[in-house]
Amino acid sequence: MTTVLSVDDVTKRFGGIVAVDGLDLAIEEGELVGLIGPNGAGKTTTLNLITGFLDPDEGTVSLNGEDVTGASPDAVSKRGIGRTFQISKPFGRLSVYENLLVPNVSCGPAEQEARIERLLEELQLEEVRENRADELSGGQKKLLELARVLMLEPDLILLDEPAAGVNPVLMDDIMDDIRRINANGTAILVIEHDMSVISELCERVVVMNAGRNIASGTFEEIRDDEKVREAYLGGT
Amino acid sequence: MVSVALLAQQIVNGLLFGGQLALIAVGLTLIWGVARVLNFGHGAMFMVGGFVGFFTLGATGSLVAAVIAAGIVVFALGYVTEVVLIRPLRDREEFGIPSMVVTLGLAFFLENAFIVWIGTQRQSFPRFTDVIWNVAGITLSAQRVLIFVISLVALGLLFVVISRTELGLAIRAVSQDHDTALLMGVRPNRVYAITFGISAALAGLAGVLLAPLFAVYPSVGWYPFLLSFVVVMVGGLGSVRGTLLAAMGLAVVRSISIIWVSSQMAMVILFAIMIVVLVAYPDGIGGYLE
Repeated sequence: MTTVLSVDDVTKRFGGIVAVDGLDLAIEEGELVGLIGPNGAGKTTTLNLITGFLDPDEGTVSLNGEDVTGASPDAVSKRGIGRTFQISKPFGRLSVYENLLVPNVSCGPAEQEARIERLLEELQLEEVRENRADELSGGQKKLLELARVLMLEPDLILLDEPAAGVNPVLMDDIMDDIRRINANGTAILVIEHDMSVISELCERVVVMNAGRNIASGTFEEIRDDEKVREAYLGGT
Repeated sequence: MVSVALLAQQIVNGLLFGGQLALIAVGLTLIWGVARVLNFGHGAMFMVGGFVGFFTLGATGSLVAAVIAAGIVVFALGYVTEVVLIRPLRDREEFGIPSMVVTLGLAFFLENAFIVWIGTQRQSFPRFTDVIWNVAGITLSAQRVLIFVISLVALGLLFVVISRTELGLAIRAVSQDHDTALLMGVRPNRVYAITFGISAALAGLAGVLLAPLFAVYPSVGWYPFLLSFVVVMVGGLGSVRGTLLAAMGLAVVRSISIIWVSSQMAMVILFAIMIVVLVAYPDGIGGYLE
């Protein structure tokens, strides 16, 4: 198995605060990994470091064996990383269809068109294809974000809280979509506070606390881990 | 008592002037909407367009070449301005005020550079045509109609680029969300520079088109800049639709008020309208047109 993402000994400081502290994290091809941790553990900073929005003070980030430390977000996206946000950020004044035209794909227009049609169908956005994105429901916005990321055919997708603001019925659909995307060979890293989502979805879970990777294993393993409990309960 | 004919004449004059004003003001609102820069150098781009047209006309004798050269050179000037002066400010926490001050500095620099180089005298620019039409008692100068039509064509082209092309889609995406556009592999810096170029080119085009009316001299850009500033404030910064409507409306108001008052007083009226609109609708009328 090849390693898609490798974060090695990465540190990020903001003034005197160490947000990420010597973090090690690796994701193998085709893995579906959960990233959890209490608020302020450094999860979102980690995503920003991986996607090039922040440069690490120390350490390296590699994609498919290639060092991308300090590369710009558009360069990182071209090398195969897609990301969605905690609060969905579709381009609100563009139609659903236009949103899917924005990703800078490397294929020709015919393939781009085919990809859009396939994703509209797979993610059940066919009926709203001409609607403005800001008219969609919260769940549909998440689906649109997912479709937009998939346009880039990434090797790894980073999902920041896919369950936030989504009704439970649609969440089941979204989880099915995530499993299906993963089954097609795309590695996925999910940040999520909803533990039921993590336990149902992820074969491996990484726990962060105070900017460090403190545990990694199956959901059951990390649930029984003493350090993890301490992190969530604040010691003792 | 004002005759109906005079009123009709002034409304037509106003609409014709509105088209030209829109050409300048749309560039100003576009660069705000996409790159969040209030470009005080917009009038200087107008001025440079006039001079490029003037020199090209002198060298080639072709008005068409003068108009095209003005568009191209001022596009390049806008592009370089964004890359060299605006881009370095973008990583700062505070961007709005520094970028505005830098463009104001650029305006003074360009104006004074031209004063040193050429002097303050007005260079006259030949009229495109002297034909005058008389339609139902209203006098129409072919020159003004031609400028109006070219302005509409330029604005129409801009509309097509923004709504129908890949570049336009990137412009619309970046104007809404810089970070997400980056994640989609779009390069916002390139989009900003091109948009700045397009915005400047519109001002440059207006500069050469209006050169026969305004003449060409280093400080010629301030009056059209001030007018277009009022237009975009009333129309709503960033709203192209609001800007078009405000350009037409304010140009007609200006034109009609000139029946009774001096053109300086008409300017005072426009500023008064701007203040009243801004008090009632702080974001201009654009937001209410969506």
